[in-house]
Amino acid sequence: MSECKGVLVVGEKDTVRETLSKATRGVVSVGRRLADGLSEHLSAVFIGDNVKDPAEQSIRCGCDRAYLAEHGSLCEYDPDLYLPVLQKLSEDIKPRVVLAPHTALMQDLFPRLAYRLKTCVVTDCIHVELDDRGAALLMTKPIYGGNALAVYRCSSSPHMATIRTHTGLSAAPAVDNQGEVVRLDVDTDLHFCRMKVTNRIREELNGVKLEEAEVVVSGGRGIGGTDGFEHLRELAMILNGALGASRPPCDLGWVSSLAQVGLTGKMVAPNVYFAVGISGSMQHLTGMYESRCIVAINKDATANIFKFADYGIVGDYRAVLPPFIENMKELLERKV
Amino acid sequence: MDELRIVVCLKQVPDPEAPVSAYRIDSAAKRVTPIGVPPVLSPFDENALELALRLRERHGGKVTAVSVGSNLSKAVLRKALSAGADELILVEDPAFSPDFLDGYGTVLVLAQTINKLGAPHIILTGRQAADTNAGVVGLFLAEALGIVAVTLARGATIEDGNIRVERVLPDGLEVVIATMPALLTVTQEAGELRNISIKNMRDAKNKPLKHWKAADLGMHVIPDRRLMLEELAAPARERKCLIIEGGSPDEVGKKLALRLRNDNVL
Ligand SMILES: Cc1cc2nc3c(=O)[nH]c(=O)nc-3n(C[C@H](O)[C@H](O)[C@H](O)COP(=O)(O)OP(=O)(O)OC[C@H]3O[C@@H](n4cnc5c(N)ncnc54)[C@H](O)[C@@H]3O)c2cc1C
Ligand SMILES: Nc1ncnc2c1ncn2[C@@H]1O[C@H](COP(=O)(O)O)[C@@H](O)[C@H]1O
Repeated sequence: MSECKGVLVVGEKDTVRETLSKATRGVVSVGRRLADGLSEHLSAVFIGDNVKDPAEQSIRCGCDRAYLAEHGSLCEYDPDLYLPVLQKLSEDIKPRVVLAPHTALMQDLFPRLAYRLKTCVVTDCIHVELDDRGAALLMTKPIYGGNALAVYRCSSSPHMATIRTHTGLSAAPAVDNQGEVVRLDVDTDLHFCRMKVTNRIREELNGVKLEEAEVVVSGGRGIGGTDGFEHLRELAMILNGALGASRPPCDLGWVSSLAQVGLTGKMVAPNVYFAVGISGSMQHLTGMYESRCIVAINKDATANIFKFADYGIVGDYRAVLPPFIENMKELLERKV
Repeated sequence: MDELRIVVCLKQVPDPEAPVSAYRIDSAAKRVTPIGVPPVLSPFDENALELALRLRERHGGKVTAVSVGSNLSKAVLRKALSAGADELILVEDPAFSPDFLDGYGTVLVLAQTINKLGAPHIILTGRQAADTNAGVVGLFLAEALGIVAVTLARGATIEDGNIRVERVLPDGLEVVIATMPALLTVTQEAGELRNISIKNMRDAKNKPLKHWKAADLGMHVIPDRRLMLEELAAPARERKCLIIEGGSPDEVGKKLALRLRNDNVL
C-alpha cells in the first residue's frame, strides 16, 4: 500500500453555471488539507463533454493537477463509460485517498468505483482526517440516521469517501495556485449501452432554490394538510426564502417531494431555518442542523426539535404564526 | 422469457422511528444498543419488497426474500411472506454477525446465496439501510455479479425483455431502460408496503422458509473486513433554546418577530 500517494478528488461541474460546483470546491479544500498533512499532491479529475473551465478552476482552488477526460460521448453520466476512465486513472496514479462530494451522481458512482478498485468506501462523511501516523484516513460518518457517529478506517487502498455537502460547506477561496491540466485518453470505442435514459422530467419549483436559500421555512406532519402550508409559503415569500418540509408532508402529497429536507432529502444550511410542526427526528435534523439559526414552533414542549433550536415557541402554529408573520412584515418594511 | 425470478434483499434494523433517547451508545464496546426498540424491516427494503410484489402482479413470476445476518428475528422477516413473497431465505450464521461482516462481506454472502438460488432476472435492495446509512451493498452486489444497476428506483416494468425504471433525481425524474438481469436500489417514492391481513399472516405459515448457514454456501472462512470501526460516539450538538413566552399567541408571535430583528437574525 505504501506505493499509494496523493489525494484525488473526483469533481463535478455546476451544470447551470458551467463552473466548478460549490460542493466540489468544498471537497477540494478538504483534499488540500489532507495533501498538505501528507506532503503529497492533490489532483482532481473531471469527466464530461466540456469540463476544461471547472478543471482550471480546481487548480486555482488548490489542486496541483487536474485530469480531464473530455469527449462528446461523456456528456451524460453513464457508469459504464465513466467507470473505466476512473479505474484506469486510479490504477495509473495509485492515489492514497479518493474523495468526492456526496451528491446524487457520486452516490451512484463511488460504490461502483470502490468495488472495481477492490477497496471500500465510506459515504456521506462529515469529517475526514489522517490518523496519528499519517498513514490512514479516519472517516467520520453519522449512522443510525444520525443517532450515532462512527469513525471508520479502511484496510484496503485507496481510502475512499464521499463528503456531505450543504451550502455551508466552506469552500476555499480561489487563490493564485499554479498547476497543470492533463488530458486523459478516452477510449471512444466503448459501446456498452447496458442502460439508456429515454426521458427526463425536471420539476421546476418557483422561487428561491432550497439548497441556496438564506432562509428556509419548513413544515412537518403537524401542519396537518395542504392549507396549512400556505402560511409557510407566505412566510417564505416575505423573507425571500424557500419552502421545505420533513418527510411526512412529502409522502402525503401536501408538498412536492423535492422539498424534503433530511438524510434522504436535501441538505441545507441557511442563515435561518424555521421548523414548524416538526418533531425533530435525527433523520430530519441531519439535513438542517448546520443552519446558523434554528427557530422551532411546536405544540409539544418536550419535542426533540427544541434541543436543537436557538429560538422556540411552544404552541399551536395556527395561532402563533399569523401574528408572527404580520409583525415580521411590519418590521421588515420599517427597515427600508 | 422463462418465469420471472425476483430476489429482494431485506435487512433487519432497530426501528429508526424510535425516539432519539432510546439509542444508547456504548463507546467502549463500539456498539449502538437501542433500549426498548424492536427490530423492523429497514424501511427502504419494505419499499423494495412492494416494488417486487407489483412487478410480480404485472408480469407473473416468483419473489424470493433474502436476509443475511446472525440472530435474525423470524417474526420480523416473516413479514415478507405475509406481505406476499413466495419464499424466504434466512442466511444465518454466527460468522455473519455485523461485528464480522462489513458491506463487502455481506455482498460476498449475498452473491453466494443468489448463485445458489440460480440467477434471478431482477434483484431489489433498499437505497440504503437505516442502520448503516451507507447505500453501498446494492451497488457492490451488482458489481460482484457483473450485472447492471440502477439506483433510486420508484417504479419498474418489463418491456421487450428489458427493464424500464423510473428513477428519482434531485430535481425530478428520469426513465432508464436497462438490460436484464438488473439490480435496482429502491427509494421511498416507490410507495409503502401494502397492508397485511390476519389471513395473509396465516397463509404465510405454509410458505417455504429456508435456513442456510455458511457451510451451505460453501463459505468456510469469514471474508476479511475492509472497513474497521475505530470509534463510536453519541452526536453532541445540542443548542440552548430560548423559549419565547407570553400571555397570548398574538403576544408570543410579536415577541418572536422583535427578538429575531433585535438579534439581527432577520
Ligand atoms: C431511513 C430513513 C430516512 C429518513 N429520511 C428522512 C428525511 O430525509 N427527512 C425527514 O424529515 N424525515 C426522514 N425520515 C423520517 C423520520 O424518521 C421522521 O419520521 C420524520 O422526520 C417525522 O416528521 P415530522 O417531525 O414532521 O412528524 P412527527 O414526528 O409526527 O411530528 C409532528 C410534530 O408536529 C407537532 N404538532 C402537531 N400539531 C401541531 C400544531 N398545530 N402546531 C405546532 N406543532 C404541532 C407535534 O407536536 C409533533 O412534534 C426518515 C426515516 C428513515 C427510516
Ligand atoms: N445483511 C443484509 N441482508 C440482506 N440485505 C442486505 C443486508 N445488508 C444490506 N442489505 C441490502 O442492501 C441495502 C443497502 O444497504 P447499505 O449499503 O448497508 O446501506 C439494504 O437496504 C438492503 O436491501
